[in-house]
Amino acid sequence: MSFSEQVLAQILAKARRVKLEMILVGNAAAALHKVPVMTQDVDFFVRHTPMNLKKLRVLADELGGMLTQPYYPTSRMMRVVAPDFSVDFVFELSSRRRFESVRSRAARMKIGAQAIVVASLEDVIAAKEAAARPKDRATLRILKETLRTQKELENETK
Amino acid sequence: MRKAVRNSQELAQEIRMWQGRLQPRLADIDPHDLHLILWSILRHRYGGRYNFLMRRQKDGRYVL
Repeated sequence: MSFSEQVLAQILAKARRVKLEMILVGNAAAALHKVPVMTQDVDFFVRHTPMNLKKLRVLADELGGMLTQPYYPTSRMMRVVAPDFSVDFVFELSSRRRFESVRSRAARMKIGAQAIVVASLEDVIAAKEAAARPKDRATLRILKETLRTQKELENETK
Repeated sequence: MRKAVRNSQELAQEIRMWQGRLQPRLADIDPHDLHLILWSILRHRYGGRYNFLMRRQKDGRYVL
């Protein structure tokens, strides 16, 4: 396993233990859809419920990390900071698409023995377009070009 | 080692084949970018691992 896969598998195993339902979004999701991008953190979309906040606290402990809320109280996300990685848990996407809606289009994959739900590349693109931050705009082109290439490849191999 | 070289050769051939077929239809995509995209899509069939998380080292360099 690569370092990226080890980190993901570790997060997934601990999240499974605390029964936290989450969807991988952002550049890590794009990378699992085989887009040539890199990132420094991993982003998961979770429902904003009191129970999930409790689960996030336990998960942060299990991961040996510190649970923080950047830009408190305005930010709609929590971040687990650990020496080797940081994981963001976002409660809403810039695209405003609902958790259930994103989950319905998501891909189910495996990282080692761990199952992972990965937002569709279309949903990742929609979120980045809506966010429109410079770092999002920087990767949008390669995301869209990879999606078009994948569709052409699928059409050719049908 | 021999298998790794064979895999690399086959991957390179497959990328070249698909680039030849798809580039005319994706003419607005830079050929170097399309090559990178095809490599990223196809490499997992030849044993490629997901490798996307960068780590910042103490000296400020980023490594995978």
